[in-house]
Amino acid sequence: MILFKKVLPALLLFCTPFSGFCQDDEPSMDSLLEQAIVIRINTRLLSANGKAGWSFSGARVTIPGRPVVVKLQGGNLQVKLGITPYKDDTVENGMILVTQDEIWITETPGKQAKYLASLKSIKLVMGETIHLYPLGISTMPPEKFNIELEIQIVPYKETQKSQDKKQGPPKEK
Amino acid sequence: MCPKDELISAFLDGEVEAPWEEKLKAHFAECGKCGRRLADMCSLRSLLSRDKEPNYRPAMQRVQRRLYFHMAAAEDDIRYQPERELPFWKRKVRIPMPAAALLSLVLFVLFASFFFFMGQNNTQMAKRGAELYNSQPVQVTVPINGMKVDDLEVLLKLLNNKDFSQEVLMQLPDDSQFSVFGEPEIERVNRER
Repeated sequence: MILFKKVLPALLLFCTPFSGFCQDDEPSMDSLLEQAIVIRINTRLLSANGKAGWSFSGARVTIPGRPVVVKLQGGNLQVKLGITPYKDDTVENGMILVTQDEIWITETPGKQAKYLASLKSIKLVMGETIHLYPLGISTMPPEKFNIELEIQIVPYKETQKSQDKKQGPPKEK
Repeated sequence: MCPKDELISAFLDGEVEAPWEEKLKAHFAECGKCGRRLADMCSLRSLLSRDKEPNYRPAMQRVQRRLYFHMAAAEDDIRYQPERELPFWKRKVRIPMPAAALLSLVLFVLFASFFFFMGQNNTQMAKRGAELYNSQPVQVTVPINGMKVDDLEVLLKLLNNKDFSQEVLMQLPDDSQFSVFGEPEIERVNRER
């Protein structure tokens, strides 16, 4: 009885701290990949009639809380846009996207550049697409362009699955 | 020669036998000094015998009763004292020899397996590391819109370096002119799920 009442719990207590060491590293790596997300960014230059004259696509892998920085350079404009996704635990697959943009623009040639900065946030779910207009969306003159960023957040693992489907089963060597 | 005090005291108590008793009597009669010593002893004895001996019996009985009481209480304590609850770390555990042997064997096996698995894990990790760094690059790039963008290495970099941030550089057409039309706006487009 003493063996079961006192020695066994003591033995279990003694062994518990060691049990952690025997575990493999796989679960932590898995949880990491679970967290990883891909931010897809499609940038378009829109003319006054709404047609896209130029577009550029990119995607980056990140984890919630780490920003993806988008730099747009050309013409009379320079934009530095920080896109930081955060997990929204109140909603299933919910995210909060925080965008921080800094704009340097020379509207009149030869004059000093104007600096504008702003911070915006929006709640969304995984897979949802949003449009970001760093220069605003009010009416614009026909000779000017507007910038539209189409942003979509998808889980990293989903992109892997779709990639695997496209590639098919692995070939044996 | 004058007798000692002990001999005078014995003489007074009548413990000196003949012929020494007569000789001592004769000496006391002749020697003035010894006669005075005998007289002093006699007066001291009469003084002592005059005071009554105090009655110690009641006090002795009281002491005896108290001693008896304390001894009985101590015996009762020894006999009927309930086992006191000792803290966990002060308790003695009696383990039979076979159980102790079994325990030590279990502990030995646990330690041995722990070190064995640790070693295996390290070997596996080393193998994995070697595979990762020595073999061909792992094909985990994510092709998005026809572009290979990121791979697992970048992801691991992200995780290891807190200050690491991903950057996308987009070169706009140089001949394009932009204006600020208002505050930056975010619009929800559609919900795929």
